[in-house]
Parts: sequence; C-alpha cells; structure tokens
Amino acid sequence: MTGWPLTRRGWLATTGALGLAAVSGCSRPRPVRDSSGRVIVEYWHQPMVVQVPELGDEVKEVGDFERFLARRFMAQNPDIVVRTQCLNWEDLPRKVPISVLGGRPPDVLMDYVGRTSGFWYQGVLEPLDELVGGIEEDFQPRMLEASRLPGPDGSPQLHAVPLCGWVQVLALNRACWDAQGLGHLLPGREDPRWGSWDQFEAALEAVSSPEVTPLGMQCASEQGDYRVLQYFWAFGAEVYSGRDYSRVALNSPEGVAALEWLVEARRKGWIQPNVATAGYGFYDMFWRGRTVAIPSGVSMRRAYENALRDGKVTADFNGDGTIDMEIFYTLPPTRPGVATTLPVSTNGLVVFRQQDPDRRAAAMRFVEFLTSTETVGQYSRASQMLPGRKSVGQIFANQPDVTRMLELAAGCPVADMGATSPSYYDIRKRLPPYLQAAFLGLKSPGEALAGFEREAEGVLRGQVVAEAGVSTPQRESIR
Amino acid sequence: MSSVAIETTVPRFRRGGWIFLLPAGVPFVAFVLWPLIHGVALGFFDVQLSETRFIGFDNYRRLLDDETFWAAVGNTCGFVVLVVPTVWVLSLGISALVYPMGGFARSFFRFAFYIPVVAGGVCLAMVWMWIFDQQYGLLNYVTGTVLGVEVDWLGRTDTALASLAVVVISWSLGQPIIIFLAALGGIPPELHEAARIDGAGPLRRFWHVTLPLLRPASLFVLVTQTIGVFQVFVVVLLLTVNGGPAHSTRTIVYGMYETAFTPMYDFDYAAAQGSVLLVALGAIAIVQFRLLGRRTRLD
Repeated sequence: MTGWPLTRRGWLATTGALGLAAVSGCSRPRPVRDSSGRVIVEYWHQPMVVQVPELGDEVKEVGDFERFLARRFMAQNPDIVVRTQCLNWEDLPRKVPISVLGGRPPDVLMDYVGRTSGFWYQGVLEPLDELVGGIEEDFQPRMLEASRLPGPDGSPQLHAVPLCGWVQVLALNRACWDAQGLGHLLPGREDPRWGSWDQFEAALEAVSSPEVTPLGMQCASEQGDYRVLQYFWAFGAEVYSGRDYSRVALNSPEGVAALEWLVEARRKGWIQPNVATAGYGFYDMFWRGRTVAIPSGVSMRRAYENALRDGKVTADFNGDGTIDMEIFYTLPPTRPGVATTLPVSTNGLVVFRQQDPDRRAAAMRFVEFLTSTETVGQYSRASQMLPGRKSVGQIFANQPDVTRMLELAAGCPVADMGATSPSYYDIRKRLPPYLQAAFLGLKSPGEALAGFEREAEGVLRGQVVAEAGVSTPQRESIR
Repeated sequence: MSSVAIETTVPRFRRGGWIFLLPAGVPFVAFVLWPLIHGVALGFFDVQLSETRFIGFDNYRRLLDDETFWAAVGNTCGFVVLVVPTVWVLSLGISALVYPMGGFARSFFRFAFYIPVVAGGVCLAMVWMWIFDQQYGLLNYVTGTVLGVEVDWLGRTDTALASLAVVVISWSLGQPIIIFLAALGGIPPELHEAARIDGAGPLRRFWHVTLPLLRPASLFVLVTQTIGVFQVFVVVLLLTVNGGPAHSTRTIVYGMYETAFTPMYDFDYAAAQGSVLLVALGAIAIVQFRLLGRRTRLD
C-alpha cells in the first residue's frame, strides 16, 4: 500500500482528463472521409421496403434494398461511401432528434414529410430547391406542394425531395361478403364507388356478428389517426379549414355528427369494442377475418403477401379450411352531398445541415441518385406506393383495379391534416384522448370535440404569443 | 515507531482508496450524477435542435397550467397508494409465513417470488397483456365462466389503472420478501422466547416484537417501492399505449417520455417535469425517514 505513483492532485487531474476525453470523444463530429479518402454519407431510412421479388435473394428483409441502392450508387461514385441505417417505426421519432442534439445527425434521411417538417422548422435542414431545378414538372404536384415549407424569409422552399407517397382508400376483404352471398351489397368490381352512405351501412350491418366487427380502427395514439379522420371527412368535417392553421375546425356540426356516428357504430358492433385502446392490432384482426374493412393505402396487397408468408392470415368465413381473402379497394363512402376527401401522404428525402462542402455535395449527389426516375420507380414498385415522379409511369399496370382507383382518387380533393404546419404533432396528439372519452361514454361527442378544440387553441395561442415577440415564431411553434 | 508508521500509511491508504472507488465512481458520475445535474439545468433552458437559450422558470410556470401533467401526477399518486401499501403488506405477510418453514421451503418460496424480478418488466407485461386481453385473456375466461362477466380491463377508465397496479405488484414482491426474510433472521430468538414466557401469543409477538424490529427493513422497502412506483413506465408504454384510455393511466415518467420523444422534441419541458419528480421523491423520502427512521424501542 505504499509508493503510489501519483499525488491526490495527480489523481484528480488524471480523472478529470479522462472524463474530458470521454466527453469530448462522445461529441466528436463524424469524420468526413474514411481511411481511403472517400467522403462518407450516412443514410437513415424508414423500414418501408421489405421484399423486392425481382431482386431475388438480394433483398429479403428491411434495409437490404437500401444497401443494394447504396452499392449501386458507390459503383457510379467511387469517391463516396454510403453507410445505411434502417430505423424501425419506434426509433424514427426518437433516434433522429437525439442524433441532431448530439451533433451527429445522418446526412440524408428518408421519412414522412409530416415528421421531417419539424426538423425544417428547427432550422437543421438544407433547402433542396437546387435538386429539382429544371425537372420540377416531372414531380407529382401534390407531393411537391407538401414538401415546400416557409423559409426563414417566409418564401416557400423545398425541405424534402418527394420520393413516393400513398393515398388512402377503403380496403375490404370482399370474401367475407361473398362467402355469405352478400357480395351484391358492395360496389361492383368495375366501379369501386359506393352508391350511397346507406349502402355502406347496409353492407356493414349484413356482416356484423359477434365474430366480425367490420370496421377496423385505432385511436390509442395519434398514429394512424387518418383512419378515424376518414369518417369525419365523410361527414364533411375538416381538421383545418381553408389552410388556416391558427385554429382547428373539427368541432363543427359535421364533426359532431361524425363522432356521433362512430360512437353509435361501436355500439352496434360495427367497430371493434376495444377501439379506445386499439393499436396496430387491427391489422392482425383483418388477417384473421375478425375485421373486414380498413382505410388503407393501395399497398395492402403487398402487406397481405408478407402476412401470408408469416402465417398470419387465417380468415375463413365458410369454415371449409381455406383462406378467404380478396383485397378489394373502394373509394371511401361519404354522406349525401359531401365530396370524397382523401389524405395523401408523401415520403421524402432531406439533407441535414452540412458544415463540410465536400460532404454536402456528396449528400446532394446521393439524393439526386435516390430521386432519379429509375430509383423512384424501384422504390415505388417495391413499396407499392405512388411514385414521386411522373416519368416513372404506371407501376400498377398488373392491378387494373388499383389503376382505376388511383384515377378516381386523383379527382378527389386532398384532406388537409396540417401535416406540414408548425404545430402538426402538438395538435395531432391531443385528439385521441378525446376520441377515447367519447367511445367510452365519458364525454358526449360534442363535449369531446369542444375539449379538443379548447386544448388545441391553448397550443395555438402559445404560438400567437410567440409571434407577438416573446420568441421567434419558428422556435415557439415547434412546441 | 509504530505511531509514525500509522501516520504515514493512513493518508496513503486513503489516497489509494480513490482508485478502488473508480470502477463504481466513474460510471456513477458519468451516467447518474452528471445526467442528473444536466437534466435539472435543462429545465431552465429552451432547447431546440439548432440552438439553446436560458428561459428561467418558464417551463415550471407552464407545468402549472398543464392539465395533462396534473392528470399524470394524480394517476402516479393513485399508483403509489394502490401499490406501495399492498406490496408492503403482502411481502411482509408472505415473509412471516415463509420464514418459519425453514430450509428448502424457504429457499423455494424466495426463489419463486424473486423470479419475476429476474424475468424483467417487458416479459411480464407481455404475459399480463394476454391475461387481460378482452377476447382471449385468461382473466376474462375465468370471470366469464364463473361470473358470466367479461371486462375490457385495460380499455375502461375505471379498471385500467387498477389493472396496471396489479401488474406492478406482481413483479414488486420479490425484493421486499428477500429483505424481510433477511431481517426476520436478524431478530434475536431470545426476544420471542421472553415474550412467549410472558404469555404473548403469536399475533401479539408479531405485533410487539417482530414488527417494531422490522422497522429499518420496512423503511427501506417503503422508500424504494415509492421511488420505484413513481417511476412506473414500462407497463404504461406496453399495456395501455399512450397512457390511455383518456389519460387514465398516464404517469409522470410516461409523460416525460412522450414530451421528449414525440416530434415536438420538448426535451427541456420533459426535464422540468423530471425535476419536479426529483423534488417530490426527495420530499417523500425525507418524510418517510422522519416517520419510520427513529430508533426502535420495545415496550
């Protein structure tokens, strides 16, 4: 115990130095180049693509497709190395902001523009207008519009380059009706439009039983809220009116009527009884045949293929031991006199602010590659989503019903969920508890929507206060 | 000569003692103390992804008007009231029953009750999710068969919180039982012997001898359980999604998580909530120490 080489001061200094080294090591910025001198680009993305049949064994699970694309890009650009990372749905909203706070965000991110807009309002994204210069007309106008946000001077700037998107329709398992000889209650295969709201209700009533609650829905959280909102739009209600994001408009006579209908539908057994706490489990209910109608994108058939492969599909309505599943897309029905309004969602590519010009240029080149007609086409075919570029052409040629559905959808107004408004998430997450209260009978539909409106106004008032000078609008509005 | 040796050795030993503290001390400073200080400080700033500025007590003023936060405080207190006394009574009762069994039986029960602690919250939450399932759950199978009643345990505001409390209780018994069994072993048998000679029955001996001598163990159990229950998170995240229905199971820690990690990324406001929790827990622990920490005196 004698002869320690360091004094107490020495120990303290050493410990302090080690601590500082550890702390500085943690916040060290990422190197721009690898040991071979190639510029490193980090690409993080959604788990959007699971399988790409035409690529065979090369793409078998999430992340494989992006690695395949990265290899192709690196072959064309030997001075750049792309490192991909697939984030699952839970990690997307957590890991990216933490990485930004930690000073090590990805260079390129592919995600829903409703989420990436938050980064734009925080001032951590590069404007990307330069990437669509000259080819702007080739992008889908709705997707391009959804990706433009006000810049620091208020003029619109492109915060994300559209990659692909989806439009919501109503997916039915037609086999449920056909197995009971009730197929005549549904729209015809050649024209997937409901004749009337009464026809829709009659179709639900006909297959409703203790085993089948026809409508699948979730309101445990704000995720997938557009599925519930589809019924509000059916009644002519809107979340925001006339692109006025200073107030919510859901608490209207139409909104109250829609929520009354939903509550009544649950009482009648048309909606699963645990809707107040239901998460994504309703998909499994659909595969098991316990639910037969859910608002969905036209990628439902791809999801069905995956569910079938995983042994999740057990729907059997006539008890003959065979699977009864026919995915049938219809245009969501509306109340008399109300036009069909559909939510359209866009997934885009964003570039985080870059200090190094070489890495910025490399990131831009990679985004250019990812949004080329060829890659957008591959992404869209793989995910069964709508391509962001017109030059991709028709990707659903082998599904004439989808082609027809998309033609019909193109003529419908786009539902305004305020996805790229500054307070989108803050407002959005306040609705589910009020819907739950209405479904559970704790509040009347009118009280529930009034409560939501009051709470939303509080949030938006905070924004107005900010605009009055307490804080800058962007900073406060992100709350 | 010897006194000189002592004077030189002790300071050197103390200096060297710092080295032995390092394996525990460095992680403690890096992963507990520093985040704690940083978290408290964060509550006084407006932290954005691109910049940070000092805002004083704004976040705390905002807390006062935040109905969702106060709903979470109410639910968390409800959890504490339901779980802590139940765990204390059950673990003490089980320990009192198991302790006299001796040898193998005592080891078996200690093992059996400690298993849930080892299994971890996520595994248990998944098991309970199926037990509570409205359509296929074991609980509804039993209530449906015996009483003809089926309940959406996690989907009703009047049953959801209590259901989660049952889950928390199920995995909270193991550690207190171990502690109480150890503490029971530390009670001198002469005291029970003397009480028996004085004519005290089993209940009176438990009340007047065992219980007072278990006060330090009880204090430890109550303090750690209270802190643990105030930090309930996993069950809310896994079983009732978003603290529903209608905020009826939202807890303070779940609210912190949601505030920080949903896309408003309100880290500073979440940190302010954490600071309030820290102060509240500190105050409760002090009260518990004051009430239960005095020296035991046998009448």
